[in-house]
Amino acid sequence: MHSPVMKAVVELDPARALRAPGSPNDPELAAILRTERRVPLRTRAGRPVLVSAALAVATGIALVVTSPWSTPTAFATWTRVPSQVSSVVPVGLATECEPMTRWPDDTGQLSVEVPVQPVLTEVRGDYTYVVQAGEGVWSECLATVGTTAGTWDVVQNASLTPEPLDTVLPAADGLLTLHHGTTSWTSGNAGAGALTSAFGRAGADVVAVEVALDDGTTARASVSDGWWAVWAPGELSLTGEATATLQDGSTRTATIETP
Amino acid sequence: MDDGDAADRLTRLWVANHEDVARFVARRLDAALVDDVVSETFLVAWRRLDDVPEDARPWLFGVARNVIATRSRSEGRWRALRLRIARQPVEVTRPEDEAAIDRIELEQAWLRLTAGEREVIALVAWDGLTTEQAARVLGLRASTFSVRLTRARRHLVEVLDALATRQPTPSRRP
Repeated sequence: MHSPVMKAVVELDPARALRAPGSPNDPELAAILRTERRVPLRTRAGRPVLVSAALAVATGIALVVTSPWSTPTAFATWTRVPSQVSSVVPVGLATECEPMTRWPDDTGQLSVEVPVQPVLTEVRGDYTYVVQAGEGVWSECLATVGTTAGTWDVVQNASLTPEPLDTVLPAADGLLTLHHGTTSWTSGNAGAGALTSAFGRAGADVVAVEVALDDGTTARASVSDGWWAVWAPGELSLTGEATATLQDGSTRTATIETP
Repeated sequence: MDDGDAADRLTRLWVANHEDVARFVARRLDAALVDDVVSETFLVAWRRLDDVPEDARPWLFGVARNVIATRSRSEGRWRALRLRIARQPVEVTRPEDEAAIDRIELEQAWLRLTAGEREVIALVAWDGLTTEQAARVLGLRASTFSVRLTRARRHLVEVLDALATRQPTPSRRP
């Protein structure tokens, strides 16, 4: 780390002065050691609800697990294959999936606006998922028809990208991941728990993408105009493994990374 | 590994890494949540002790990052992992070239980076990881991480240059 800028960044570290040495006699360590080590866990890391519950039991704290991540009826109408794929957003949803993203300026005010436009829309069961892109920014939007006629229940997410979206493109037979992450959706009456989404750019020869799910099955991603997108119920439900099918019928193994 | 050996190993991991993990979490969460997340991180290590590599620190950071990300989610909203910055200036002795970087401008520039850019820089500058270790925290190839670090560092310099050009004198402190 020879760069003066990097050395200067060190001074911004909020934890430089924190002192928290671990001791063999720490009660928190003792509480962990009292727990059963071989509790069956699902294979992926990041199951804090289970972990929290175990820790609470170990320390004698009553805990009712009301995890939003594992609702039994989560996204009951979700389908492994999208029923519709296009770049057109349904009537009424265009304004709900905001066409303008807002970012902080030097003072922290959300005054910098960057427009985004739909690049891919897909439908799985009752759920419409929209990916939008703009100058160095993307957004995603998951919606279902609201309980009142003409309304939508919507959750959205947006991020700036280090490089303009068009400057980094995959090879003709490859995939580029712009986003891969989990969220919960509990807004409105249709709230159904955790979902994992991913999208990015697809090479010119890619006509289909099949992604592996953590239950051992697969789901078909949407591919349209050089973009691909997929989402599935559950936390960390996309394993990151994918297979791209090319125009000539051949396949390529691909990895959905976490940017 | 029997339970006695496992307890010994976790204790060694705790003693060797507790402070580093606590700092890692404190950089990303409010102080009130740090202890809980650190405990959850080591509980995962306890349950997956056979998976913990010899170089445990990046592995523990990766687990802590997952725990933080899950805690940061809220109803109906996505939230990016956010990196906090120190509220108070830190007294340090710096060579002349580093002193030329104004702290206020640096803070402004830092806040203009994306969450992803801040993450890759912080893993190296704050968490003290090598490129290979930081890549493991994010589940990336080292080469991919290096590219992202280079881009992020370049973007930070560009933003700093832009800020310095726009407000060259008034914002600089003696």
